[in-house]
Amino acid sequence: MRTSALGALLVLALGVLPAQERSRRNPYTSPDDVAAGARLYRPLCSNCHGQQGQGWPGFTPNFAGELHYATSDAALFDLLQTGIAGTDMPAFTFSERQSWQVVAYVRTFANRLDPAAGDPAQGSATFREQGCIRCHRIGDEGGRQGPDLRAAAAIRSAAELRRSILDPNESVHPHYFRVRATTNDGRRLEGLRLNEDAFSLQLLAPDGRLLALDKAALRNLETVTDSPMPSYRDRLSQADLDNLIAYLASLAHGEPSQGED
Amino acid sequence: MRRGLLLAPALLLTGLLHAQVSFERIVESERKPADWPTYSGSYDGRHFRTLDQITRANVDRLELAWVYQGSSTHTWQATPLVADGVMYFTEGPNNTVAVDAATGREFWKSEHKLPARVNVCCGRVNRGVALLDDKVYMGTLDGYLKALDAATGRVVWEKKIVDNGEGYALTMAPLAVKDKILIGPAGGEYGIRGFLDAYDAATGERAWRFNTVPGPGEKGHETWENDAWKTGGGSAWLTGSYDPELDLIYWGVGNPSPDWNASVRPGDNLYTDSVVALDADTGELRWHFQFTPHDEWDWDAVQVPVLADMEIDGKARKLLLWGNRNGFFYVLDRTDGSFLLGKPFTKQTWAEGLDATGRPIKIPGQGPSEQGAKVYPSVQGGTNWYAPVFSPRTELFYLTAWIDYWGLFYTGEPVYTAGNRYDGSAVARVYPDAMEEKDPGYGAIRAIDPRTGERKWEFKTTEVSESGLLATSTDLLFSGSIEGNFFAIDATDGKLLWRVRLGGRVASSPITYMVGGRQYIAVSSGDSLFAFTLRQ
Repeated sequence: MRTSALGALLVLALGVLPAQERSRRNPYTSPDDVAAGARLYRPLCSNCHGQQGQGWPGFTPNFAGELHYATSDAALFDLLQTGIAGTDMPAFTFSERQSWQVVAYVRTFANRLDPAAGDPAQGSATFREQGCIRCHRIGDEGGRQGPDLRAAAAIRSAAELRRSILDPNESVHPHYFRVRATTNDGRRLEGLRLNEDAFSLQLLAPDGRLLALDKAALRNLETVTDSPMPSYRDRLSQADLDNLIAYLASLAHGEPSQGED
Repeated sequence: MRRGLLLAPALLLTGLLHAQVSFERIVESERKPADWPTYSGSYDGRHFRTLDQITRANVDRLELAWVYQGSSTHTWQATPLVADGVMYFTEGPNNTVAVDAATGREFWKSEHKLPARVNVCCGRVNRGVALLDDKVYMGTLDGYLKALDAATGRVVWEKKIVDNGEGYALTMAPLAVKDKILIGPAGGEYGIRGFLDAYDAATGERAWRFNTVPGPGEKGHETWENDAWKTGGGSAWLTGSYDPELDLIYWGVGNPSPDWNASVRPGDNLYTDSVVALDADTGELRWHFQFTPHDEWDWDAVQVPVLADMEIDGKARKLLLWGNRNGFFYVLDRTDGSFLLGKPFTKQTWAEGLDATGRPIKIPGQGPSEQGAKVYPSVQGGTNWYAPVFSPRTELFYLTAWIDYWGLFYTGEPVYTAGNRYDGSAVARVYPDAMEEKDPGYGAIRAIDPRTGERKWEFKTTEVSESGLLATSTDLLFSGSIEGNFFAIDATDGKLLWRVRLGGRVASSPITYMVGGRQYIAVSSGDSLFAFTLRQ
């Protein structure tokens, strides 16, 4: 009897623990709470964080991935109250409930993967048989000219992954644009464009070398925006596709997600 | 005896180091260009200096003289001031520093402790100080106007002039005019009601206030309906300019609130997105010109007013040149605000053009929408607060331009609660990223002929820039970039003459000054300040 009364007291107390207690959990996670969080997020957060929480490179994070400061729901709650010193993230005048509701909404961005029906082991074999590993990286293995696919399934839906495999040219991320250049003394260079500014260019050559070039030393410079990846529409069956997606999903599940204590 | 002899030279040195920047000295500053005694170098806002030690022929002999390594990671937006060999600036967010302009060694640092929570839209930044007589003036994010002793950094007086709890903050470098310190608040995303204030430099008592959002009974109030004026915006977050002959102060005013839901504030919303010309002694409005009536995109007219004197059609004219955030370049007569010329300098899709009075002819349906409306330019506009240049030698106007880039403007239900953002929703693509987008537009330094509004030439960069410009009488134009490049181009034709990689974002204006017979060029990059001089 006493124990349960004590237990009840503890349960009540948990709602009013001081901010230092990192093991606080979000008490406002119902669909209504998520919707309320969305209504706050839209006018107050999406300006910097994007309508889909995708952020802007070098400015704000992608909420689908691992977050540097919001390592737990409690940490995210706290930083809404205080902002992040040393950055442009301001503090907000939210009630406790509102803060938790925003936390609940922000956490929905992290789980974009649709359940995939397929065999990951088969998918892994297909991935290597079809030569994907030549251009794409998985951990320590594979090429570098295409995206590293270890976390792809964490931030792309199954439908998006399918589209990339069947029609790679439909959407080429500028991060993977290539450059072709001819130097003033006639050498031809090619690779992934890493960085470009008014005076210089950096690229990743197909053999893995990092090259830095002065634009003044180039006679000719061309940016190639097409994908070098062929379409696999005629080479993969529907089952092959499902297996590949399942394989990528199995890699992504190894990634840390929203970090519960 | 010996001790007495040693003391005398030391006292002499101290006397020299203690700067006295009178109002007259600032008025004369272009004729005495060794100093940089006010935010824009001179009251005319031209960022042009008659110093000729560094030329187009020898600029490639510039070498690093010193670095001041800041101890803050907030973006360095402060433009330093120099008087008599002492340099003054703010270090983000709200410390004030005095260093030796020849070596970068610190004389003193005055710290201002901020509360953990400050309400600011766009980073904990500060654009610098004002100097007048023996004091240094600056504003803080938590609303204090401070007067520091220029010799020691001690606080002489400080006045809390705005309440940051309601979204007001001070980020601009104040302007010293006669015996007053002029300053206005930031907070156009927090539903403030903006103003420009003048404070007695000696005592901190307020001398006058000009309401940028006029209240009932004030001229211009008829351009507001219902209670929207109470949270109407009209921030003033950049240092204005001053014409000593006309005795007029020129100031750019920020956006109306809420930024992206204009339906709650019908009317032209004066004097948001306008330039106002005020009497320097009383703050009374002499004339105004509104660039973007009933703004729906957040196009603050917060640019440095550039005063140029040019002969147009055989007549000497007193002009005001303005590269506006809305994508148009304007030429106004600064005696009475009359509109002389207006032309877009970047792709814009919100107006058919300007009518004979300079008022934009808006294209219907280009405002923010629920699904997101694609508009050129985006929220940061064709240009923003980055210092422009007028060179009386080339008679060209130069600006840091963001060319041909668009934004997605969303509108939503604005709910006002003091201390929270009140901006009516959001914009996507605040910053284009040339490495991450197919069609990002580009950054450029544009040279515009004020007689025609036509582009003379442009110096293209890949990424957009937040750097101000500096020109000298040897036809050098200096600028920096977001990637940390700092470079000099030829002001006559835009050819690259010199460059150096500093490694950090340049988000302030370069300056030039003389100490010990040597000319320096100084600029911030990342969280440090770099000074260059000619290799001996």
